[in-house]
Amino acid sequence: MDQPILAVNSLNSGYGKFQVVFDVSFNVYRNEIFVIVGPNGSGKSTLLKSIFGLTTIYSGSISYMGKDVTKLPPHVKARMGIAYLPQTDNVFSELTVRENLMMATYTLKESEARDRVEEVLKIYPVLRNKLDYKAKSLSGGERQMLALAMTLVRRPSIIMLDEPTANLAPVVARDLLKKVSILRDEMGITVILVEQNARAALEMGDRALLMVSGRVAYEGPARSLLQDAELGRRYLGLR
Amino acid sequence: MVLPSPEFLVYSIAYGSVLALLCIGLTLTYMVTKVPNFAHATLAITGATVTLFLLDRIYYSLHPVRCHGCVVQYATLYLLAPILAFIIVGLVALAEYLLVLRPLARRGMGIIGLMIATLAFDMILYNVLSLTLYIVPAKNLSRLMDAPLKGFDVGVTLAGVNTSFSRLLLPLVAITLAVALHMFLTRTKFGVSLRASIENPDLARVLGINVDLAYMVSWFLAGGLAGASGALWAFMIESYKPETAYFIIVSIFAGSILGGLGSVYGALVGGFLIGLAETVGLVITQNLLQLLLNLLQQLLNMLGLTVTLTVTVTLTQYQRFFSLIIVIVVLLVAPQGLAGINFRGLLARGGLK
Repeated sequence: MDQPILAVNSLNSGYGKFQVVFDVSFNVYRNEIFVIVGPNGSGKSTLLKSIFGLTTIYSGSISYMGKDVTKLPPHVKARMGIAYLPQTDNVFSELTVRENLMMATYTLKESEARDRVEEVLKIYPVLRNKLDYKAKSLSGGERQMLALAMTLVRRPSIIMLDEPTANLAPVVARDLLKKVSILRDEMGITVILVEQNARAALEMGDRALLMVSGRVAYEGPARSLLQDAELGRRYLGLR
Repeated sequence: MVLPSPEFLVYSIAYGSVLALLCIGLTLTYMVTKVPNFAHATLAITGATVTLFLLDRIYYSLHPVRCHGCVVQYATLYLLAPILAFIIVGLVALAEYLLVLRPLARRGMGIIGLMIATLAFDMILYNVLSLTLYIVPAKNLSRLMDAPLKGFDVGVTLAGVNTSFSRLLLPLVAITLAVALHMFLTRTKFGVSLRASIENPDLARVLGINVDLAYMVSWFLAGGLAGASGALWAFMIESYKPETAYFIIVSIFAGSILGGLGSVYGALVGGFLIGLAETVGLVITQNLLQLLLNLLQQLLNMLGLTVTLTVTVTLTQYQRFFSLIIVIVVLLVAPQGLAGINFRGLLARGGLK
């Protein structure tokens, strides 16, 4: 296999003195959809936050494109091309849609930012008519669209999505998951996807990681995990 | 006469402007660190100290014989002092954040601990100011500290109202700084990033915004506003004393709480209203009280009882008490302050919209 785009080695992390992630190691390769699944409270979201530098890391290492990024602050990681879409509070409610997009292109030059915003407005045309609306006035689906637009506008190399379909209507959620495949297939972005809907996620994923109580219970092809009746029944509610 | 004199009205507006700027600063730092900064009033006094030291330097040149036009001297007082105070006090506030609050917050200290830390910083700053007055070589400080600094303010008569230049300048400075702050927060990329960092620091970091830098700028701006307003406020206080801070801090908190502690615009209005309430409001209350006593006296006289009733208490001595009552009422009736009131809804309910 190629050099991994992201490599996590023996990571131990948590919040302050409260450890959540225990000795987690895995590699993510370019242009794949890497799915992280597991029961509630298994540490999936904390793992993403740790990779991005939003938690306390006790030991272990994270490297991105061969460079050690373990101790780099989040804004530096963002500038290096790592994007993270939080599960909740992923837009600035008090800012307008235009200001939200301006913040998403914060690290870019003005002319480049303008072009990129135009690009994402073509993907999400509904946002164009709401540019001067505060984000808090948008519907749940529109907010999620704005959050994705804010992530895509930076053309990241790798994008970490934390339960992007949470609290969305089933039809909207299905539509959104389809767009995740487009990120890889048409835009060449590597995706790490944390998703509650394990079946849908594993069906579209290339490889998967199953987390249980903060530890890795499985790492391998997504299809194999989907077909593993024992793990699926015990931890993912699959029958 | 129930209403105060036009001269007093001008004084009230100037005082309200000082409080408005101080409340904006306190609210800004509260929004960033979620800690009420008890040193904020001493930051304003630090600004007044800048005026005091500049006055010391130009003391003799302000003598009528030497003062030919006095353009340079008054530019020093009205222009250089607020600008210098903005920079110096901005840096002092930044030091408070960088040396005291940020390290403690990173070690997981809670809000009570951080609040006490701002009190400790306040005491340190107060003592540094007091020491500076003795250590820094100055020729006329003792004279300046005994005499009210308003004696150095230029007298102005406008539309028949006798007032001073600083009192006319203060509302203009407040409006200019408030508009500049609004433009900065809404029209510049860095200003919007500051609002974003305040609302959701984690998301701001995710997007590559240097949240720490945004917080540092907020503290510098808050200190700068306190310094600039303090530099001009120096002409309104009876005599310069660092402990004056301990009185005005009550008014600053009152204005900020009235404004809602979560909106710089609320703080602007809240501070201004508290300033008016503490001055015009008290005088009107005092005059109304006297009017009521006069009516009572006339009634008693009509009943054949000859008594003289006068208000012997000057309510203006109790202006902070008035602020505290406003704070209690606001916390009971509208805990989120002016910023939390749905004015559109109220207008719609009243059939006005």
